Amino acid sequence: MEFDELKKVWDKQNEKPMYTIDEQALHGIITTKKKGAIKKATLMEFFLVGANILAGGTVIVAHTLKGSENIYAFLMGSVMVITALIILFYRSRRLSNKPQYERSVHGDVEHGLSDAKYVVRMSRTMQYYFMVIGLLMIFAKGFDDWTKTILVIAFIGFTLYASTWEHKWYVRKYNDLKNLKKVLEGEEGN
Amino acid sequence: MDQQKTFNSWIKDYRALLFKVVRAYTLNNDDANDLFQEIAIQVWKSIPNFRGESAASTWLYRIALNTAIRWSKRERKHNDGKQDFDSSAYMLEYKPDQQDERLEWLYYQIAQMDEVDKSLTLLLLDGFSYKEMAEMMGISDSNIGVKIHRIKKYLVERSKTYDSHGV
Repeated sequence: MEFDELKKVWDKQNEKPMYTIDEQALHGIITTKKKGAIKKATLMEFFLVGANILAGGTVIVAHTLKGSENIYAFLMGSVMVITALIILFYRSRRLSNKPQYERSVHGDVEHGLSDAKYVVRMSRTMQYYFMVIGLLMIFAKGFDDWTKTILVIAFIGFTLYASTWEHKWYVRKYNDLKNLKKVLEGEEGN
Repeated sequence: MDQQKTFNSWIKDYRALLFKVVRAYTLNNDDANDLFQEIAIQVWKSIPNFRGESAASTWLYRIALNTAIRWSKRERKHNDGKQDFDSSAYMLEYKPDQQDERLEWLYYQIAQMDEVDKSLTLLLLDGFSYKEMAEMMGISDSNIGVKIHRIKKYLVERSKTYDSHGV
């Protein structure tokens, strides 16, 4: 074949597109993302509630049994337990909002986006929370042994650094869902 | 410019163009879906930057090719990487029964080329000028001329083998 013939073969495909866009499948992809966002929110809540109650409860009980008067330790334990209760409150509010989303693809997308946004906000709030807990931890530990204090500071610093990466990951997932929603809206417009 | 309206009309009017790029850069339906999704997202993001200085088709070709080249490089690195979405859900449905066998052959030949030649072949077959190709690919006009000459020669030579097999 000469090149002109090849071009004619090539041009023919403009009349018969080689793919069709399956909009239902596109919806399916978004629904999968939505489920992922809800799962992440639930896992994060369970982890934070469990860890805070366990750690906060242990600190309070241990210091009470020792007859300690370390105010920072009691404050830290209380903040942890109260935080767990606040997370439970937000969880129940998140779950009670569920019925407001209509049972349609759009409702699913909005629900997924709402939960993904919730996770992003919570991960940011937890970073501030950990700074407060970190400071209380340092004061509760005291400054008698500087080596231990420096180790605690290093641990807090590392955890905060790692949490920024985690936060970015949640933000990326949220943006991913937002972009897919736009693609879906685009397809529906056609 | 209404981003949503522009996106809708571009996807409607230029889907054939996007499909060509997807088909040329992928070997199976999974990959085609993955790449199409990525191109659609990039097209959406690009709308605020579109100033109308070039034709929409040129703009879309540039985005689709750049995305496909980046995607191919990434896929080569992470060949065993899992899909980011449920791969049982396909956005695109391939319609091989609607295609000319010679077109399948042509895509097969394009698939054998490197990334730059692939892009140039698509642009050449879609009738873009050397100048437009040079701008899109960031290659000098003279270099484009040399490459195009080589690509044409390659395709015509390969088609002789095809003809001799009487397919």
